[in-house]
Amino acid sequence: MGLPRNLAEKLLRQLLRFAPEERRAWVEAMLRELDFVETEWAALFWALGCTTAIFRECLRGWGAWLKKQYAELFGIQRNEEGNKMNSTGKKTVGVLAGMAIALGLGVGAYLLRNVIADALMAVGIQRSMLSHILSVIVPTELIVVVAAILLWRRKRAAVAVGLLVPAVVMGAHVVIFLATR
Amino acid sequence: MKLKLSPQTLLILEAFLNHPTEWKYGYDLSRTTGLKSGTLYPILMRLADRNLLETEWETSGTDNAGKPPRHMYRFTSEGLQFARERRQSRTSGSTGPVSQPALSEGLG
Repeated sequence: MGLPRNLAEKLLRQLLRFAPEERRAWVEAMLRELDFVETEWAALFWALGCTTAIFRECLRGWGAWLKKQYAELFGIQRNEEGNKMNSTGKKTVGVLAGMAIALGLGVGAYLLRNVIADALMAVGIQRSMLSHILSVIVPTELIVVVAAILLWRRKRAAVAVGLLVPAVVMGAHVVIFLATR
Repeated sequence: MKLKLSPQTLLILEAFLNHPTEWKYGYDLSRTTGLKSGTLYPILMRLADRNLLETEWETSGTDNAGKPPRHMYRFTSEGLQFARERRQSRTSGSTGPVSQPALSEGLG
C-alpha cells in the first residue's frame, strides 16, 4: 500500500472515531469502498471528499440545532411537521446569517489592516488613508458584493441582503467621511 | 410538500433508475455518475434519511476476494415511485418540483 492510500485509510479511520454516531455507518461504508478505488491518489481524493461530506453533515446538524434554538428563543412559529421554519423565520435567519458573515469579514479585514499596510510598505507604497481604503475597504466591499450576487443567483436572497446591509453602511460611512474631509 | 432536486441528485436518481432492483455500491455510483465522494455521499445520506433509498451491508457470501463487506444501496418502493414521477415530469417538459409527501426539505 502506497503513501497516499495509507494516508486515505488513516484519515477515514480517524473520521470514523470522530464522526457523529448516526453517520458512523456511512463513514464505515466510505472506508470499505477505499479497497475498490484503483489508484493511490484517487484513494486519497476519495477520502478527502468523504471527510468533506461528513464535515458538511456535521455543519448541517449544528445549523439545524442553531435554527431550532433561535426559533425557540424568538418564538418563531414552525410548521406542522415541526422541523421546518416558516418563510419569515427562514428569511430572518438568512438575513442575520448574511450580516454575521459580512461583519466577520469586516472584522477580519480590520485585524489584517496592519499586515496589509506592512505588505504595501514593502513594495514602496506609503501608509495613507487612500491606501487603507483601496487595500482594505474596497477589496472587502468587492468580496461582499460578489458573494451577494452569487448568493442571489443561487436563490439565497435573504443571505445576500444580509451581506449587503453592512456593506452599504460601510460604503456610506466611507463616502460621508471622504465628503466631510 | 414540494421538492426541488439538484442536477447531481437527478444524476444519482437516473443511475438507480437504470437497474432499479439492483444493489449499487458507493464507488461504482461515483464512477457511473462522475460525482466525487464529497458530492455523492451527502445526497445518498439525504435520500436514505428520507426513506427513498434502502441501505444494506453486503453478506459474506458475495465474493470480493477476501475484502470486507461493502455498503449497498437501492431504491425503496417509495423512492422508485418518486424517481419515476420525477423522470416523467421532466420528459413531459415540466420543470417544476415534484410532490413528495414524505420529504420535509429540499435535496442536494
